[in-house]
Amino acid sequence: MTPIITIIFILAGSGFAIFLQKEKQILLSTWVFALLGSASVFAISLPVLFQQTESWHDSIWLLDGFSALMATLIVFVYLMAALVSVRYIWHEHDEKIITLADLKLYFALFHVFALCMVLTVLANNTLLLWMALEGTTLSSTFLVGLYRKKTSAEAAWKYIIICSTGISLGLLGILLFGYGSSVGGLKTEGIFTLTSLFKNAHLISPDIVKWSFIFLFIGFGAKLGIVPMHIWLADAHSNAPSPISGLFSGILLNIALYGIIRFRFITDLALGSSTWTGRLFLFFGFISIVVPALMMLVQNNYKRMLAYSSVEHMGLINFALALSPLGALASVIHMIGHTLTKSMLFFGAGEILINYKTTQTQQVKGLLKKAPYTAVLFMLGILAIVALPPSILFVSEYTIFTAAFALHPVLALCVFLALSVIAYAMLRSTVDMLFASAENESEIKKEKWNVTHWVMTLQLVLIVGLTFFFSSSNGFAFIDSIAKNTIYISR
Amino acid sequence: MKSLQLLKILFFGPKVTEDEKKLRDFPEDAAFQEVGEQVALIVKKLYGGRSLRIRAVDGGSTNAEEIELTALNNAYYDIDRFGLSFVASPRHADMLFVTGPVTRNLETAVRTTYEAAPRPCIVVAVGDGACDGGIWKDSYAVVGGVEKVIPVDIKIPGDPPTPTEILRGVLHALKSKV
Amino acid sequence: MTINFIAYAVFAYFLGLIFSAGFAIFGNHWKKSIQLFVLSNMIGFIAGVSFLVNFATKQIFLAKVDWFFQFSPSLNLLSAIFFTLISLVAGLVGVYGCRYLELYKETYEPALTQFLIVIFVFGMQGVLFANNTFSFLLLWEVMSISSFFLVFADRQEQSLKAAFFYFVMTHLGASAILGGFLILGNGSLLFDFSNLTGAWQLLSPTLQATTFLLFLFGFGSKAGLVPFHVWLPEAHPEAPSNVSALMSGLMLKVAVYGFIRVVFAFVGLPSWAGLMVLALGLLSGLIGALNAVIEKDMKRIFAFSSIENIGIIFAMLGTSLYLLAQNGNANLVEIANLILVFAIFHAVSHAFFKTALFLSSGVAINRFHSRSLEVMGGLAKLMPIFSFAFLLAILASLPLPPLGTFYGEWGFIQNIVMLLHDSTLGTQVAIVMVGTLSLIGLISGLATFAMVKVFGISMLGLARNKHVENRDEKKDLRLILPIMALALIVVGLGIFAKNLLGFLNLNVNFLTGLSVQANYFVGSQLSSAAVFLVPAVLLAIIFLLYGYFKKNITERKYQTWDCGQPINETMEYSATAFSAPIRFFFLQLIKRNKKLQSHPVIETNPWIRNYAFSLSFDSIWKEKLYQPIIFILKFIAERVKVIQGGRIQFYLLFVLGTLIVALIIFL
Repeated sequence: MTPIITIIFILAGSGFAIFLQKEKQILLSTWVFALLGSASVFAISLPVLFQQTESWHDSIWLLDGFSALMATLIVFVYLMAALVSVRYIWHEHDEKIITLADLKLYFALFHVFALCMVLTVLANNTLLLWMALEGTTLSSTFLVGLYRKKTSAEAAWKYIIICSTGISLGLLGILLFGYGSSVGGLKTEGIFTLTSLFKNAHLISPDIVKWSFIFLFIGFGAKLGIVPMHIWLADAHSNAPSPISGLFSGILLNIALYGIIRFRFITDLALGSSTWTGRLFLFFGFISIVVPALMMLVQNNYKRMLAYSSVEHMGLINFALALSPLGALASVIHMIGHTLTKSMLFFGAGEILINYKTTQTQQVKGLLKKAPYTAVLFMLGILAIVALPPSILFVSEYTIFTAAFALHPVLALCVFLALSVIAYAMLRSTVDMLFASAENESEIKKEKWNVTHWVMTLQLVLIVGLTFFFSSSNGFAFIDSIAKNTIYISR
Repeated sequence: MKSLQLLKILFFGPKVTEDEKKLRDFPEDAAFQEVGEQVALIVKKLYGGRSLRIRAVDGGSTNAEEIELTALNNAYYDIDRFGLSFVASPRHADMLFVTGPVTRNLETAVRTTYEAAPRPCIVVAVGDGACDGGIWKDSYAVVGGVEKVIPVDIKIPGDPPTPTEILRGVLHALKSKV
Repeated sequence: MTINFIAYAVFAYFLGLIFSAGFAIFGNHWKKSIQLFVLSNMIGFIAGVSFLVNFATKQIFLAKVDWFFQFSPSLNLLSAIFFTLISLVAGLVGVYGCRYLELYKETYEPALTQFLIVIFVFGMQGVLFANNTFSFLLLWEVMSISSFFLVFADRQEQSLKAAFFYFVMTHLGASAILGGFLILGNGSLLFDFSNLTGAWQLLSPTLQATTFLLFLFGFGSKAGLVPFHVWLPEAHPEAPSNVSALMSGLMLKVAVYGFIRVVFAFVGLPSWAGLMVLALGLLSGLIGALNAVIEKDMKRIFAFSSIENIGIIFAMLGTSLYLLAQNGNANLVEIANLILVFAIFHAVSHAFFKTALFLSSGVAINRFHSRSLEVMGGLAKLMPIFSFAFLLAILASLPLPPLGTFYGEWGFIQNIVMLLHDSTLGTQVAIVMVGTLSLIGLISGLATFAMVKVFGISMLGLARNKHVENRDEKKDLRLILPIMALALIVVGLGIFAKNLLGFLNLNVNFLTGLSVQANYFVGSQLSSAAVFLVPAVLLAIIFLLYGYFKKNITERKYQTWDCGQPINETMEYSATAFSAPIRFFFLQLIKRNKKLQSHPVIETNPWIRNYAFSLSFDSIWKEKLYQPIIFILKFIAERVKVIQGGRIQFYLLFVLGTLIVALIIFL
């Protein structure tokens, strides 16, 4: 019962993408293998998630509630992105924007990328975790630069340099954890295993733990997109093809956060309380909310706007993590909500790009007339992401504010103001795109309902449905069972 | 020396340039006075102790009649003491003086003035032109006498009629209304 | 008439609203939607009235919905008054909307607009029933967002800008209210309003001050209190006229309701708080009245008039708070109670007449195809019934007896005068009261001037614009009758003022549950019905006498005497000229832009020129307060943008720099 099956399926999918020649066959194989791969992960993660089976681990793999949740989210978005990719890339190939070789490269790397993400969250060995994370960076670099334009190449270059630098700093952190635990007396085979680190955290000396956590936080934080290491994020997420941007913003950032959270738990156990890490999260989370708020006021590219929104939401999750233990629950809910909403928004942005062939907000006009389905779904997504009820983000944000007003009222008010500024900026761009009338209304090719719209609708339904689930006490208990003793220490 | 003289005149000289007796000493027009007093009595009776207001309309005259009407208002003739005064709007008028033959251009003005004046209004045609057209009688530019445009109560002939004749005409008109 | 009846009626009302919304959005049956909407509002009105008659002093709970954030809708006297008010007015506006949306089929999409209007009314009414923070804010947001979409119903760029400005202000306000409630509830969103006083008393003085200021900003910005009023003259004119009527007439009252409900539960509020509310109220009144006098856009004038009336209401509320803070004798508390009652009465009458005014502006603008007063005129001859209704509405807006608005303001003035007679009054209080009195007089005078200007220029005289729609007035009866009804209601308020005020007085449980003797009651010697009847009877007698003596009078009609010059519309008073004396007097307080441009007709002759003159007004608040804030934000944003320089070495430096700084700070 290991993820070996998944690995086989997904690598097979990748291989088929490389070796098949006809475009339709590649697309079909992508669907099939994405389904198979997802099913295999669902088979192992869903039982653990809903507490039908106990969480288990061995020396390489770890599957507890949190990993199960992340794995479920990853493959869900992977499946959705695969569906959207099929339509999107097929369209781009049709329009001769990309060649067949590019298409094969895309799908091959797509599967490998998803595989690396799954391995990251299922890893128990910290070095395997690190390798998988680096693997995501390497596999997705070429995806960012798929279009071979100057801006894409530059974005890919920035992406790989900064993320790899960050992840190398993270490696230093992991090694320092290992060093600290071995100095503290842990056996050699345990120093790079998460579960044994959890059990023996008290052996690690607090000073070493602090150093290693800072290295890890800054390093993985560069991958996460914490200000001021976020600078690559806007470029990379806006130049990548839209389904990949959906994967990036939706789930890859969560994975980097996953790594940080795991090691934070060890740090907290070693230090005895979460105050020190809390300060780190609070500071970086706060500036990661305020800076994107300012940047969004002067954005005129809707994909960059969505990318900055991702930075802001990651900042909000970091801010929430500083407010244990209520904040920890809020952060999990927020992660789930952000994944669903942001990926859906990027899929929608892909549709807008198909219709208008430009990412400049000023040049997109009259979306409501030209592409009504996309427009309405996109608008609903924007309303969900500015945390309008009944969006899940509303539930998480009010939980955050409940905790924040009690602990740090001034900061909470500033965050409130920043969120209002962001809501204004996003709504202004969106409404401008939707309602401003286009010049030549004569040649309006009305768009047809396609698979992207199915995906977006499904995600919207999930967003609303999960809101009601999470706002009830059952939902809270469910999240609590995931977060307890993996994210926050229960007393 | 000259300045001393000036000062003497300024402070010690007479206060008027003319001799005071000479100012008041001028021949009165007895006929005018008599007609005027009769007009004053009738006006008092007709208008309940109030004055008679007159509006002068120029229907295209040579202004000779206007000069005489102006003379009626000056310090010598002074019809205000008899209770007659000129007003600026036909809406305030009890009596209309129409002068001049009514030219085609001013026909509308005469007509609207008459219509705007509230009834009862006494229309007086002053001067030969107003009576029957005068020397412009059959001219292409002229409608004719005032009676061709609006109903006239009394005509005062003359080119222009003297102030006394005008006042006599007013007296006749008022007598016919008593 | 039990609680069950009321509960079922209210439930039927909201259900009716939902179905009405459904009719509008699915299948385009917007006319059916309006019919159901009006019917539901009638049911709501009946429910409200039955509550007021039967249960006035109590608070009743209509339901208990625990699974939805512990929502249990409740009605007390204050919310019932506003509920009845909103139902009645919304029903009448619905009738108006039937014809109005038909006339403007191309500009506003009727189905969507009607849907949003129903949701808007749903939100407003829901706020009145909310019993905890979550439900209050949820329905407040429903109200704000639906009105946001309604403001740019015609999807022009100007209305979009106004809508966005409104959106930002309303969300800042909602955040402030949320912040206040969170502080009161110690972070819990399920904080029940029955614990308001208790929770307030547990706070420290600084937190109390913060909470009060947050609520003042939150409710004040929604109500249109200066200096948070800047969105109002932009947003209300751009919306369709029936929506402007709903927003100005009803939404502002919901904000007043919120303020009264929350702030008057704060026992022990310091006197500076009351003084602040009073000062802001008087300032709003002054600015609103002044701008109403100098503006030329009919709907902007009405928007500023709303600001002025809200200013008067808040001045009354502030006086009440200030008097309560004096810790004086029971006399002061009674007067504070009374002033609160008059404030509510004025709010109610303002709702009626302001709605009537905005509906009238819709009719006028439809005929003249423009909002500017400078092209209006002469409509009274074309539409006599409408001009009578409009005249009644204008009269209703003036604080003159025997109409209802008079009693609100007069009660306030008379109570202040009574207070000044009290020998135990402190000097500071006396000075404040005298100042208030004089300013209220000034405000009322300016307001009267503005309303006279509006009616005179738009209805009387000759049309200043030849392109007046000459449709038969009978076709627009559905537009005119609601206006007439609303104006007559204000007349009714005037006639029955004493009874209504007495009823409110006896049932005041807003403050300390004291019921009041009618000692200081306005006009205890004066009956409001008599104030109405006496002039009415006198007028009737005069008409009869005129009719009798008319037989001896002959009348002859003739055109106006024009001294030979043809009279045309260019000779009439223009709106700018009419307001010139006041404008010149207050010139320092107004930001006026005068532009005179000239260019020669023939280039070689510089002495014969064409002149173009334009006069416009800017909001000083927008320039001195809001623009600098926006400018600072944009400035910071542009500076922050610099970090996205583009050179990768720079970025790497950032990463490593952050690492070093983090190591230094956190270790």
